[in-house]
Amino acid sequence: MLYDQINSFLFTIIATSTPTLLASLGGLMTGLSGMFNVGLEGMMLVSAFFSVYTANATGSLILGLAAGVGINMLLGLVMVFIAEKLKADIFVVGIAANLLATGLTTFLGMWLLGLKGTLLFEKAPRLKLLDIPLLGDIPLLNGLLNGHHLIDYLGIVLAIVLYLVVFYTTYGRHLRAVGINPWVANARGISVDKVRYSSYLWCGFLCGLAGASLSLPIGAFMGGPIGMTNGRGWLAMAVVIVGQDNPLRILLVSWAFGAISALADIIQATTNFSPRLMMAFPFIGALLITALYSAGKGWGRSAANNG
Amino acid sequence: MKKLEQFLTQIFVVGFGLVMACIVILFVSKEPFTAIKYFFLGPFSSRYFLGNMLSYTIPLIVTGLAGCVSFSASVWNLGLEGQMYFGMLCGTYCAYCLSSMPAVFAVPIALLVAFLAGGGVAAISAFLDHKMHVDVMVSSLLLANAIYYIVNFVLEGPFNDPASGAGVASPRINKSFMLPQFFPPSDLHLGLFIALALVAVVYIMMEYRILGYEIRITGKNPLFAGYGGINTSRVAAQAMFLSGGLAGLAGTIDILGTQGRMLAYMSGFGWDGISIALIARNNPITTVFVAFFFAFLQKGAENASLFSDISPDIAQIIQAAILFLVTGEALFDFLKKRKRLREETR
Repeated sequence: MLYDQINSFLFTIIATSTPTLLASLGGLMTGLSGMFNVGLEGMMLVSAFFSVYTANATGSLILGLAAGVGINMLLGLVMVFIAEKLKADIFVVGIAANLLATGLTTFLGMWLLGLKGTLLFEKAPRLKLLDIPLLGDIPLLNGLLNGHHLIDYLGIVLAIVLYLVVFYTTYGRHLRAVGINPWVANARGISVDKVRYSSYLWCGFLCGLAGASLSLPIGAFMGGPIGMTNGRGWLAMAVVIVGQDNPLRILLVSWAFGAISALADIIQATTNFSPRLMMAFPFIGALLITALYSAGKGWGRSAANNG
Repeated sequence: MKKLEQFLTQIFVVGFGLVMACIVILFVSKEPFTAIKYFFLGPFSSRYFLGNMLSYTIPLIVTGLAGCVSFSASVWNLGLEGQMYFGMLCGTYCAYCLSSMPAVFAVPIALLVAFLAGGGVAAISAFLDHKMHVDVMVSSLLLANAIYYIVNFVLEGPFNDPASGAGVASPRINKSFMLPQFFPPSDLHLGLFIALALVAVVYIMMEYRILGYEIRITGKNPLFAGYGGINTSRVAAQAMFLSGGLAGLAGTIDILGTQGRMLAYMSGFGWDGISIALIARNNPITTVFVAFFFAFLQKGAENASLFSDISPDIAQIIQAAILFLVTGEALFDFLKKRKRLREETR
């Protein structure tokens, strides 16, 4: 009994932490290149809208996913272009992206569907829970790892892939070199522009998946200032700080943050504690974790401080 | 020269935003010229619309100032919305509790409480930054999200008026506490002069007082400020507290001037304040104009949606477009180069 409960608790952690994980990996890539993106929240919202809208219009999940990711990569390119070519402040550009996302998604919802608030896309195919037959025989892993969405698995795989990319490839070395000192990197023959453009493409790609993982499973979109992203972009920024430039640590930290959310859900379900008040719980928990971590570590070395 | 170029960039980008607005309207509207007419002229078309636009400017000026103060110190207080929301709750609750007092005492006390409440939330971020080195940007954002739910909880339960008829809302405060409205039939109220007075205070503080100087130096070059004997973390905390306090004031002034009760919703004034301060480049005087421009965009878009077929969210899109480009230092160089390139290839 207890074993089952623990198992389902861990299962929920993996399921709920996916958007935060993907967004913080995106934030990490931009932070490593020295241009931390504060527009994670906005990017996720844009992708959440476009992916479910396209899936609804075309009836294809793949096209929906591609549209969400594609639009986001385009947005990333525009952001880095404005920062690099027009010498704008990337921090301000990130804030502009958040503003744009809220306005644009509500505007498009009104224009294309004539609706505000929660948009239901009934014709959109839902992202299915996967059943991996190979895992069926292993008792512990089966309960934990089987039956998630495709994007949940992608999140974990991407964390591992990015770990290898960042620490064991030439590209990863260039990325980190540009973040540490762009002038030295430039003098050593690394194209700073190219590296930064690519980091924003990564960020667009990852936040695109994060946004799609919110809207595609339920076939709906919620816009507005507290949209369906619901502060996950901000949580992701805290994850990047605690994750300290390492994709695998980011995976662990976003699971820790997911554990807080899962705990809040359990308290909400089992006690009569106000559900509204419980929604503040993940943010306070994240703040406490960040504070405890930062107090131990000292500051000035995380990717978020590079930007 | 640098100043002039910045000013020209600001003007150019605002013009670009307006042109983009027209293009978007042309593209999506079935009756674009009516929509454009109401968008640009609607807010000025009657005393009612003009007054309401100015009334909407008031909280934007104050949150803009809040942004200016902290951004000047390079303290990235992005939690203005949360500080404002909490300040609003405390200010409204205080005014509600003091119902039996004469307005001369109750209103200043409510405003003071709102200032302290907003500042208090900001002080948590400042404390975490000072003691534990938590990035102010992240802590203030996380706090803003937490506060949103906590305040809504209070408004739904303990401090709720079930008969409000306006969604989830607090009870009304005493009518005699309301700031006088002087431009009927609109709800433009005396808060305008409070806001302008705050602009003057912040301007004088930033330009002529020691704290303002310390804030600016800390913002420009913390190392230099530190060598000069300035306690930069103290200055940063002070800037943060002032910023949160102003944000708290902004919401409460709006409630005392227009609604008379607190509604459970995100007004967005705090988020707008961030954009306004960034576009105004932390200049308190410019903030007034940018706040007015934001109010114009918002009210123009609402007007166009009222009398035509444009969704009011177009205002946010234009604001975002402006924000994207306004810090572009090389914007003009880039445009010049493009022109030269085109001439060369011709």
